[in-house]
Amino acid sequence: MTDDTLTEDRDERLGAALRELDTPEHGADFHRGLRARLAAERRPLWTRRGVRLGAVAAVAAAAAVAVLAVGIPRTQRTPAVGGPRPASAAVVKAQLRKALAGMRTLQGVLVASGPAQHGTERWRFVLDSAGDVRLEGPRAGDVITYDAAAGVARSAQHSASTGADTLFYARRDGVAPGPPDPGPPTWPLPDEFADFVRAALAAGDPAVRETTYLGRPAWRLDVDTVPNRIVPELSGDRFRVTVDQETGMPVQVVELKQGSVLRELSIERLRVNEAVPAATFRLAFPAGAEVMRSDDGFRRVGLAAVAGAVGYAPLVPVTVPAGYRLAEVAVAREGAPTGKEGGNPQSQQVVSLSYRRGLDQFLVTTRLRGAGPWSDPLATGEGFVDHPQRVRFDAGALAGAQAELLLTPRAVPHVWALTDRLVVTVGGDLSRGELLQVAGSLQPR
Amino acid sequence: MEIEPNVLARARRGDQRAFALLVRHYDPGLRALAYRLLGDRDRMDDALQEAYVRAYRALPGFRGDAALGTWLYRVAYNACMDELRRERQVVPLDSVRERADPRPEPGELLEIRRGLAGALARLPAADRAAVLLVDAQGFDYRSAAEILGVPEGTVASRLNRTRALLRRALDDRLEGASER
Repeated sequence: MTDDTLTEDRDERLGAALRELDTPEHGADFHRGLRARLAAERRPLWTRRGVRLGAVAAVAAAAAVAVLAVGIPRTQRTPAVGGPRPASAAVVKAQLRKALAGMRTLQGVLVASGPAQHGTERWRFVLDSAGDVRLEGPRAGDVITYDAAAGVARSAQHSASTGADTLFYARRDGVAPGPPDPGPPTWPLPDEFADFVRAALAAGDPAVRETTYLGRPAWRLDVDTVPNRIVPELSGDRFRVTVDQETGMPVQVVELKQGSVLRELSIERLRVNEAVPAATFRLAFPAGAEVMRSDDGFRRVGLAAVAGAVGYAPLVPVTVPAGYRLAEVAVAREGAPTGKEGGNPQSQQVVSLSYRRGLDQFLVTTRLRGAGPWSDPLATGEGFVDHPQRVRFDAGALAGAQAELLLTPRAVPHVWALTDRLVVTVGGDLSRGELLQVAGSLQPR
Repeated sequence: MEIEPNVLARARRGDQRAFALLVRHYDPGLRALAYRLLGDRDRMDDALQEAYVRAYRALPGFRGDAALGTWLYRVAYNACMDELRRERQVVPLDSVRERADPRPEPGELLEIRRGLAGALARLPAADRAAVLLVDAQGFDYRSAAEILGVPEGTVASRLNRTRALLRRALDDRLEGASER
């Protein structure tokens, strides 16, 4: 029988009897525990999916757009240099890549405003090339810090559900360096902006014009987009992204609907490469404060200790793009399920290698394959159908393995593969060629 | 009752009050599914807490290409299956007793419920989920297939064999009750 010939029916009598079966209420601590866990996850109103971007991420919504744009493989064009004529997207991308790859620290204030934003909100942000993040706001007292080397996220957040002035303190240990494992708490990035800009750049050259922003030379990209299906009335049909020419940082993103501004994101007081004390990324809790603690299970170790910890030799790239260095090695005996809606088996004996270059990041992860069926750990999810490209490696640890490459605006650019024993991912701020090069050079060490 | 688009929009942007409204809206159905899959209230709570956190994390990426309810049920179903895969003391589902309704109720009706719950508990979890989603919760085959991650035809075949067993259990109990 095929699905086309299915005759749907429902057994109403059986259904009624099943509905009569008792279902217990939640335990007394359920909602309190859930509130605490959500408070630890709490993100500002502008946010992104919890994947992609590692550090850069973070902060500047606009910056996210930039970084995403950098990751897009596309036909290179001869850059338009100088003069008042429109620049090509390639010029902007080149400048963004240069800015992000060379950046050590980035600080500023992210401002979100506009009719669809219900008022103006501000977040102070600090991030560095080690992956550390500090985010303050939008209310006084709200702070999130992430200490990448230790894998510890700390937060003091007003609880939206338990009282206006109640601060929830949370410490999350053992945080994975990044996708496909749940990484640091999410940050105020408008993923839809990033997605649309990335999609537009991938599809062709959006119009790029010379302009000024706050008296500084800038580029302006105009990108048409399709409004979100859930809330079309609150979702724009065009984005206007302004990129500072000198720093390469996007400094403003405006979402428009039929020519009217819905939302505006901008960065104020942008500071680049200023020294930041290490304590910035380790929030200190008040003495005696009740702190909700959780542990994702990832432990930072030296590369030499990985095999002893997980029972197999880690797969390490022999070649990485210029400027990248191994920044973090983390292992976990057990990790959260990956893939669409967490549909993959529980992750076992996970190794996550984080490579960084300025604010760029890519990750190589492995986990035991076990007996369960696996789908792409970095799949787009939520009803989307990905169209990965099958790839074959002739050498290295992935030689002969079933492998796929996925470059799509809504997901981390990545390669994933199944070897006889392992599930392997390589994903992050890499071009198509770089992804294949890194994945093809993996060797047990 | 449907969720207001504005609530969903706010939840997508991290508003916990809005997310709490979503949880409140879908929780009764999800509890019913999770409890019948896991057979234990503590495990049900563990799985649903995990599911809600996963959903909260993933909600910003939710664009409405799937129905929200379908998507949330899939997240919860996957969390329940993860919970089932864990190695821990498992409460035999046969031993799940139907609690007596506090209101006065004929003993036969309670017996019927126990019989049906026992028959349901003896089924594979995936079969249980199919009949709970379609017959008890009213999902169409396509949505149930999305939730379970299988083709519609698989849903239909699971329903065929599952309904036969459950109808038999229900009828046996009803006959037994009428003979007394």
